[in-house]
This record gives sequence, C-alpha cells and structure tokens, in this order.
Amino acid sequence: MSELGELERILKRLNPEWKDIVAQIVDITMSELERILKGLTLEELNWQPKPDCNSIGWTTWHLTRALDAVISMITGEEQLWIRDGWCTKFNRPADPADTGGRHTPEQVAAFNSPDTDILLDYFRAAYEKANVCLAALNRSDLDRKIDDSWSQLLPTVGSRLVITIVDMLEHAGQIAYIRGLLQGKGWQEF
Amino acid sequence: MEWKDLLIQNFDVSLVAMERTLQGLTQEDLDWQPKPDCNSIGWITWHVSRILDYASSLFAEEEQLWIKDGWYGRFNRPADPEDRGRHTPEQVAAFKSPDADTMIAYYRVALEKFKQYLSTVSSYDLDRQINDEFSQILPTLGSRINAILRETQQHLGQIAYIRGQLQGYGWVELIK
Repeated sequence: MSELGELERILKRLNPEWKDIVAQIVDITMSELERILKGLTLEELNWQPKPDCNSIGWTTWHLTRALDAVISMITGEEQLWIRDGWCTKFNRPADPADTGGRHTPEQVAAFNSPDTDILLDYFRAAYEKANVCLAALNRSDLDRKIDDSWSQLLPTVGSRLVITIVDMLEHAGQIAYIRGLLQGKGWQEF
Repeated sequence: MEWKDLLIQNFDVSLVAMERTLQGLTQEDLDWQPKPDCNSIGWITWHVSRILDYASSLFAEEEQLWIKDGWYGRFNRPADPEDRGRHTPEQVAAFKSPDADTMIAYYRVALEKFKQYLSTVSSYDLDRQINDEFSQILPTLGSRINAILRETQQHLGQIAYIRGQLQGYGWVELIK
C-alpha cells in the first residue's frame, strides 16, 4: 500500500464516519457467514426443519443474490451472477431475475446447494463489489432515483441500501438460527 | 439523505417488521420453541428490546426504562438492569412471555429511546470509548452502534423464521 493510502487508513480509523459504519455492517456479515457456514455438509446446507422452511443453502444463496442484484442496479453494471458465471457454479439458469424472491415452497425444496466454498466465494465476490460501490457513493447519491419495478416502494439509492441491509442481516440471523436448530446449543464452540 | 439516516431508517424498518411478526400471536405461540434448546419468539423479542434499552442507557448514562418505568414488573421479572438474556437453555425454556401487545410496547419505547440517543450522536462521537464487559471486542461507540443494528436485524429475521415454522408458508399473507 502507498504511503498516502496508509495515511488515509490511519486518518479514517482516527475519525470514523457514519458511512464507515454502513460499510462495516457488510464487512462483519462476511466474517459471520464464514463462521456460520463453516464445516457444513451439502446435506446440512439443504436441510429444512419443515418441508416449507428455507434451508441454510437456499437462504445464503438468496441473500447473496439480493446483494448482487441491488449493487448492479445502483452501479448500472451487469450482475456477477451472469457476468462471472456464478449461475453455472450453482447449476441454475443465467437469469438475472433468479434471486429466490417469491419462490414457492416447492422451488425452495428443489434448490440444491453447492458446497460452502462456492456459497462463500459468491458472497465474497458480491461483498467486494458492494465495497467498491459504497466507496464511490457520496451522500448526494443516496437521493438518486432508480427507475424499475420497485420504484414506487423504494425510489432512491438510499432506500434500496436500507432494505438490502435489513434483508441481508435478517437472513444471516436466520442461517445462524437454523444451524442452532440442526446442531443444538453450543454449535458456535465446535 | 445522510449516511446516518440510513442507519436510523434501518431501525425504523425493524419496528414495522416486529409489529408484523408479532401480530395476532398468542402467549403460547410466543413461548413456542421448535426444539428445547431453541429460542422462542417471545424470548428473542424481549432480549432485543433489552439490548436497545441497556445500550442507550449505558451510552447516555441514564437509568434503563426496564427499571425506571417498571417494565420488569409487566414481564414478571426481577428489577435487575443486567437481566437481558445471557441465558442457558434452561433459562430460555423457563422464560414466560407477556402478551404480544406488551412485548411490542416495550420494544417501541426501547427503540424510541435508542433512536433519540442516536440523534444526539455526531460522527466525532463514534470513536468515543465505551467501558463495560464488551470493551475488548467492541471498544468504541461506532462499533457498538454497528453491533446493535446487526443484532437487532438478525434477531428480527429469526422471529419471522420461527413464525414460519410455527404457522407454515403464507403466514405473512394471513395477517394482512
């Protein structure tokens, strides 16, 4: 890292901004997902406590798809899902709308998770793209309008980020809960 | 919109999510555990509310609403500011929820207090040191706000998941 970059890093640490808190939420979620998914088999990733309940694999895929889709909406770039061929690694169609939103219980049950490495690698790629996107966003960008089918409900970049964070964190909490359900209290110590 | 508003709106959304998930649940539903060592909807909701109340009191150096306004009595629990859910499975199983209205009411006042505190915080305050048992892992006010937001949202995701387990796919449509 250049000296200037190092200086910036130190200054940032000494004088944190609200924006850094937003970025750190995504940072910490990355490390939490690594911890929550660690050591799970394919069978465990696809396990559903009841036939109409989401599995750990489905939920992780879905929250990552949401992050990838929203960031690409904000930046106007193609989704990593398509551009980098993640759809193939998940054995799914190259469809940018394939995010798991509005999936029926049958579709959830039919979802076959890839292994934890692929799940985490896709999240990491989406997370890195989110970091680049966030770093480039200014306060004034938060009020920028986005025109698509969600515009009525979530008109601006800022409102999309709010919902994306809510969605990502709620689903991350669910994954941890499902793992507890599967392996019992104390799984975090394993 | 400011970056700080983005965090505040996150907390606003959490109240809507909480009200939706608890709507129409009986005390039996609130106390239901999918397995004996899993947290119930009632326990999680109480725990999240306690964190918000505990944290804003710690940061603002004020008494907790839990004590000051007698919420502990409505939850039938001791007047102990440290009673916020660092529990064993036995303690979780023994937890008895009050009704959903009481749970939502305490969440609402705890959240309001936390948001009020947040409105007084400037970016210069974010690196202020906070001294308590978590100081080693979460030393600054900024890191606490981050952790509280994550924990709140994660627990809200969990109660929605538990309601789905209890009532099956489509419960969101049932309450509309």
